[in-house]
Parts: sequence; C-alpha cells; structure tokens
Amino acid sequence: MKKILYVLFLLVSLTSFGQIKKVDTTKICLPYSVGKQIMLDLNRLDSTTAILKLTETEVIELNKKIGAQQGIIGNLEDKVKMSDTIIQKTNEKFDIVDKINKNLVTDNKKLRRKNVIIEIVSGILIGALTYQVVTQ
Amino acid sequence: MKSSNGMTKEDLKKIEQIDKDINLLIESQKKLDESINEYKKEIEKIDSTISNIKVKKEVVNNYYEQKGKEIKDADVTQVDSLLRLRYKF
Repeated sequence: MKKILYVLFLLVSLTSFGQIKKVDTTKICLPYSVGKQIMLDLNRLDSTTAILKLTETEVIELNKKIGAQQGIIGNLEDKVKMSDTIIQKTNEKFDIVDKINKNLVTDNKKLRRKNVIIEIVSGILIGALTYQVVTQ
Repeated sequence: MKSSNGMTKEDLKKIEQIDKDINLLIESQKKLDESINEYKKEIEKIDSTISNIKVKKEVVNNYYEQKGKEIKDADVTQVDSLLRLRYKF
C-alpha cells in the first residue's frame, strides 16, 4: 500500500512539474515606457550620428580652409620680404642719386665760382680796354 | 667719366640693375597676388560648402526633434510598430 502511495505521489509530483508554464526565451516583453524610451534613445543616436557625419565633413572643409589661409599667409610673408627688398633697393638707388646730386651741387658751386672769376676778369679786361679806348 | 647729368657709367649701371631687380620683384609680387586671389576663391567655395553643411545640420536637427516629439506622443501600438520597423521583426 505504501508503495502504491509512493508511486502515486511521484506521479502527482511529475505531473505538477510538467504543468509549469513554459517560458519563450526567444522573445522579450517590454513595458510601454521602456519601449518608448528605447525609441527616444535610438532617435537621439540617429540624430547624433547624422550630425557627426556632417561635422566630420565640416572639419574636413575647415582643414581645407586652414590650408588655403596658410597659403595666403605664406604668400603675404613672401610679399612682405619682397617689399623689404624693394625698399632696400630703392634706398640704394636713392643713395646713388643722392651722391650724384651732391656731386652736381659741388660741380655747380665750382662752376659758379668759375663764372664769378670769369665775370670779374672779363669786367677788368673790358674796363681796361674801355679806359684805353677813352684815353686814346 | 661723367655724363651730362653728372652720372658715371658705373652709377648708371647700378641704377639700371636696381630698376631691373625692383621690376622683377614687382612681377613676382603680382604673381603672388594672383595666387592669393586663387586661394581667396577657394576659401569662398569652402565657406559656401560650410554654410551648406550648417543648413543641413539645422534641417537634420529639426527633423529629429520632430521625430522625438512624435515618439513622445506615440501610443503603445505606434511604439510597437516603430520598434518592429526599426529591427524588422
């Protein structure tokens, strides 16, 4: 009798365990609020990804701009150097012209002195000749 | 030997050489100016591309802000269909 009861107990237990609700492990059920939050997070991710792509393109363009601006700076620096050389060359030219001018001024002074002497001598000569003509 | 304007041949040569050098430098500067103008044109194009990108960014921001509002207002069915659409199940 005991054995029969034992077998019955085992059968009832096994049946009970067999009746435990099977859980589908391939699916997950989410609460509405969590699903909504997931969609909001995904939306933020999509937005950030799209903005990131555009920002990367913007950075590339900005780097190109920096390159062009550096080119301009380089050219302007070269231009400044050239301008300095032009100024230096012009100063050299002015020095030469100044030297020539000084020489011309000196020559002019010498010529003036010469002219004055010639005028004096010719005046004396004319005076002497006139005196000689008048006294004769 | 001085010429009539008081310039020696040596001075004249020097001045001519200086003028030549200055003219060469001025020509080089003109080329640099051309190059600078090219760079400026390039920068203008880049600026235009950058402003286009900024406009696109604004459009994208507005689009996703609108989408965010729609998701906030969505009911269970809509959220479910959005998730299904996203993950194709």
